[in-house]
Order: sequence, then C-alpha cells, then structure tokens
Amino acid sequence: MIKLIDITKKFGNHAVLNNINLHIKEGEFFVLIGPSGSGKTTLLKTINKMETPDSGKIFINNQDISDIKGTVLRRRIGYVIQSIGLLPHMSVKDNILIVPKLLKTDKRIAESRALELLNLVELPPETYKNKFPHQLSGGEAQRVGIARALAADPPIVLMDEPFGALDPITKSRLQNQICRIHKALKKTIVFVTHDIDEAIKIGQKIAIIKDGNIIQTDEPQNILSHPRNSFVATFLGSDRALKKLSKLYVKDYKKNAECVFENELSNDIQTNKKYVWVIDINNILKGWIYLSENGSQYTQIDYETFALNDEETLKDAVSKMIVQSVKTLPVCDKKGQLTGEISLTDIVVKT
Amino acid sequence: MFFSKTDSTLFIIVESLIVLSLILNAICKDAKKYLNIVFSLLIVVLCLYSAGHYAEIVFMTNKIARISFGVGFWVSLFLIYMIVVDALKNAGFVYKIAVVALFVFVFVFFITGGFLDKIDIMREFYARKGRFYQEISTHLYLSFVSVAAAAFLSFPLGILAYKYKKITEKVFAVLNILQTIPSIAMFGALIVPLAYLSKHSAFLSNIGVAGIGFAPAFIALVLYAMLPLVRNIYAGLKNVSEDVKQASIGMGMDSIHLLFRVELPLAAAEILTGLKIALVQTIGNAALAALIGAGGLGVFIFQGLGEASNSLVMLGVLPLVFIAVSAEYVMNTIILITSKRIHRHD
Repeated sequence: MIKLIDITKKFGNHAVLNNINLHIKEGEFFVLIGPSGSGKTTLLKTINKMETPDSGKIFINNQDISDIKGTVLRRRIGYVIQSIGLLPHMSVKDNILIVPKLLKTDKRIAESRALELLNLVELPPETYKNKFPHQLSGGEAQRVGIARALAADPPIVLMDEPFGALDPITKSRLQNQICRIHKALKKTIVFVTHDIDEAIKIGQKIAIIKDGNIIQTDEPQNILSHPRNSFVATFLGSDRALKKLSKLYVKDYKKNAECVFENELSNDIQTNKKYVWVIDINNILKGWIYLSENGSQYTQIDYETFALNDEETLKDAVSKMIVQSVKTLPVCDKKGQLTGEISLTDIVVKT
Repeated sequence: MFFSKTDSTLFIIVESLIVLSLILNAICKDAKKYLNIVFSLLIVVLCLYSAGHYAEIVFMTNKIARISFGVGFWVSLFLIYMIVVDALKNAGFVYKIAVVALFVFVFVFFITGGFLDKIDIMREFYARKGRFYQEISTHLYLSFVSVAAAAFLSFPLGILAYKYKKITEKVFAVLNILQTIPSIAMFGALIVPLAYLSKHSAFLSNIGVAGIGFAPAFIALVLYAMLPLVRNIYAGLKNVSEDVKQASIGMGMDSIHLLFRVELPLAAAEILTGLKIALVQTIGNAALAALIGAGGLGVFIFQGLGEASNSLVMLGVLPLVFIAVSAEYVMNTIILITSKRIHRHD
C-alpha cells in the first residue's frame, strides 16, 4: 500500500532521515517509534507531502506521490496530531465536515457520515455535534480529531502521537477504541509514538527509528523476543519479557484442567494432583479442593474475580496469580464454565 | 446675596452627595454598580442646572457678560466619566446601554431645552449653528473615508507581510517612519507635490486634488491609519495557533482556504481592534486637517485658540471627544460580539 524507497531528508547539514525504506501493507496498523528527534514525525509527514524528501520515492498504491498535488493527496489521507488542532470557531460537526467540504462531497451524505463517526468514537451525536472545541475534554477533543480524520473515508490515516497529551486512563480507552476502529474499518494506520507500551499494545508492526535510521521493523512479539541490538533492547526496557506477555493470549497457552462435580465431593477423588477444580452440574466453576494425606480442604471461589478468560493476556494472568498468591489459575468462559487452566510454569517454559 | 446662597447650597449638596457616596461605597459592596451611577447623575444634573440658572441671572443684569464653565466643571465632568466607566466595567450589556442613554438624555435635555443658552459655549454654538453641523459632517466624512481607504490598502499589505517574511520588516519600517512624522510636517510636505500634480494633470485637478484642502488631509490620515491596521492584521494572523494551521494544512486546505476559513476568522477580533485604534486615532488627527484647509471640528479649535476663546475651543473639542468615545464604544461592542461568535467563550 505505502512504499518508501531510499528516503533521505536533511535540515541544513543534519540528516533527519537517512535512506529509509519501508513497506506498509494495506490494512496494517503500523507504528513508528523512536526517541524524540529521531525523525519519526518528519517521516510521517513525508507520506502526506507536508515534508518533501530530498531524495527517494514514495508510492501509495503504486502511484508516485510526487505526481500528486499536495492538497489533493492530503484530502485523501486522514491526519491526526497530538495537539488535535480543532478549529475553535467551528462546531464539532463542522470540524468533522472540513475535508468532505473541501472534496465537495454531497452535504447530506457527509453529514450522516459525520454523525455515524461520532457514534463510532462513542460521542453521542445529539449531545456533541453542536458543541464547540473549548467545551470538550482532552479525550473528547481527540476523539473528534479521529472522527474528523475519518470523515472522508480515507484508506490511510496518519496519526502523530495522538494520545501523547492524555491522562493514562483516557489514553488506554482511546487506544482500545482506535484498535476497535481499525478492525471495523480496515484502514491502513501509520501511528507515531515514543511510548513503547503503546506501540506494543496497538501495533501490528513496529518500526524502531533512531537518528533518521530504521533500526528494526517487525511484529511486536518478534522485536521483544529478538531485539536487533542493544539500543532496541534498552529502548524496549528491562521488562521487555513482561511486555511480550501482553501480546500473548491465555487461549493459546491454556491446557485441560482436572475437575470434579460439587455434588460428588464426598466420593473418593482419584488424581495424582494436589488439587482439582470444583464445578457444578452446569460446569460452572465453584472452587477448588486441596488434597493431602490428612484429608481434603474445599475452598469456594467466585469465578468472576478469580478465573481468567480466553481474551486476557499472559501479562494479566501473571498479574492475577500474584494478586491471588497462586501458581495456577482456572480459565472460564463468560458464563463461568471451566474451559481449562494455566500455570506459571507453562508461561515461563513455553514463551 | 441670592447667587451666593444658591452657590453655597449647591456646594453643600454636591459635597454631601460625594461624602455620602464614599460612605456607602465603603459599607455596601454593590454600591459601585448602582449608587455611584445615581450620585453621578445627580451631580451632573445639579451642576448643569445651577450653571445654566446662574448664567441666566447674570445675563439679566449684564448683557455683555460672558459666563463659561470653569476648569472645575470640566475636571468634575471628567472624574464623573471615569467613575461611570469604572462602575459599568462588569455590568451587563443592557444595563450599560441604559446608563449611557440616560446620561446622553440628560445632556441632550439640558442643551436642547435651552437651560444652558446663556452659557458662553452655547452662545458660540448659536452664532455658528450652520457652520457647526457642516464641520461635524466634514469631520466625520474625512475620518471615515480615510479609515476605509486605509483599511482597503492595509488588508492586502498585512496579509502579504504575514505570508512573505522577506517583506515583513520593510513594510513595518516604512509604516513606523511615517508614524513618526509630525502631522503638520506631513501636511506641509504634501502641499508641494500635490500642487504640482494638480497643476500638471487635468484629471487630478478635476477630481479635486490640490495642494491644500481635502487631498493632503486625506492622504496624511490614510498613511497614519495604516500602521495600526497593518500591525493588527499581521499580528492577528500570526497569533492563530500553529496547531490549528498545521491541522488545517494536514487536512488538505490550500493557502486560500487556510486564509479565509481559518486565519482571517480567528484573527477577526484582533483585526477589528486595529480598526478601532485607527478610527479613534483618525478622528483625533482629523482635527489638524483644519490647518490645511480641509475643515472639520479643528476649525473651531484653531479659531478659538487664535481668539483666546476657551468656549470656542470647547465647541470643537466636545463633539470631537463625543464622536471618538462613541466610535470606541461601538467598535468595542462589535469586537466583543465577534470574539464571542468566534471563540465561543460563553
């Protein structure tokens, strides 16, 4: 979809971008990450011609963008920046309609799409469409910024540290939201950040950039497992193993669990394990039973707080083990039916 | 006997009003907003009435006596103006309008009602009634036409100074130098070239260009008005947030879209402030146009200075101040409405 070939850019004598080659696939969530001053924002801006490289070529859908007028190109590419840049004299709706108006899209179609987009970013249109930017919180304003970038249904969206100025809770919510939107709309997203946790959480592919050079481009798990050099390793942080766990899911690591029915507890339990899970006749997890030579001890638990589900990450699993002071946790589905278990040993050995 | 009694009665009333107002101000928090207005109004009414009354009594006994408002009157008027402005600072729009209208009504009532007819300034007015209205309209015409022309020239200049950094400094260097030239020198400097042009171009002399009169006054006033206009247009555009500009460019706006949909609307309040400064300044400067034969309220001022007649000077100064203050008030209201519309600070 987007191909950057030998992109070089100098500001004076200082090379900001040094022979950059990148290939971003259609529908990919691509994250450019690097310390400040690494050239990541400049690189992003070459894609919509807000910066012109000194040499090298950029192709979007096999079309050389140097053949396209900057303004025309930019109207076809969504653009979100950290400071948002909502126009203070326009309502939320009019802000979203800026690009459709530039493209002279039919007004009614554009307006109904604007309202859909407000719903998509979870801002109820009736409440928000006539508000003005100064009436919005930082998180709300950035959601309008995202809706605005999507207004003309562009195949590509460029995002320059969009969540950099938000508080951690809002940031996390918006990260989840943008992942959901990415899945729903199948846009190609190029996302610039300096926050490694953010990159690992949302990126399908990450390019690490330093002093204008791409150091490593790969999927997050691979980068975490095999950092190319000490810079990448340092950048990922000493807890990179834990970060990797945040990209691995319980469903892929769980194994079958041994269990007994609650109403058969009085029977002799045949197992070589120290404990078994206890379920009721509907397979719903009720607790566990600890077995020893001196007899057995039944502990009742609430599956909602104790059990994991398939969609949780191994990082969540380890965290829950620490909280509950156990080495093994049950895995349940939404109804509480036991589907397996996961142990600390499995996590340590298999990942 | 009779005058001195009125005099001292009036003095005691006004003094006690002021003392009462001071006490009330000290003990009552809301005194400023309402009481000060009431007291100011009372003092104005008392002063105008007693001055007019006194003048009539003097006139009855001595037909050639000239009774003018003294320095104390003007100072009091100025102080009352300050008090009213201060009292209205945080007042609502309707209340402000009502108070201003009330004061205007009081003055108009006293002037048109003939209560002040025997005061010198009114006698000067009656002696020059026709001329007075003519000079006011000349003054207004000269001021507004000059500011309109200056605005017409300043808009493209301010925008160019903002868009092309190379010419920014040059534009401001020229405008700053123009501003430092004293008005009289500017009028004088314009006489020769304009007279020359008018002599050698039938077209120019036909449209009324001459070394003296409207043409040099108009040109000088336009040149003076351009600095505040260009400066505020430039600063207004420059002050539009860089984030907003970046986001707008990133969405695919070209420079025309950016200018008309983003930069000019967001700079509107500052540009209008420049227009206000230019307007008030031009209304004041236009008084000097009388020196070069262009007429205006300056005619009375300079005539009065020549005859050492304070009342005649005041006949020029008072309407001048009234026009300038009203223009500022109207512009402030427009600016307030514009910035509310644009920045939506409700």
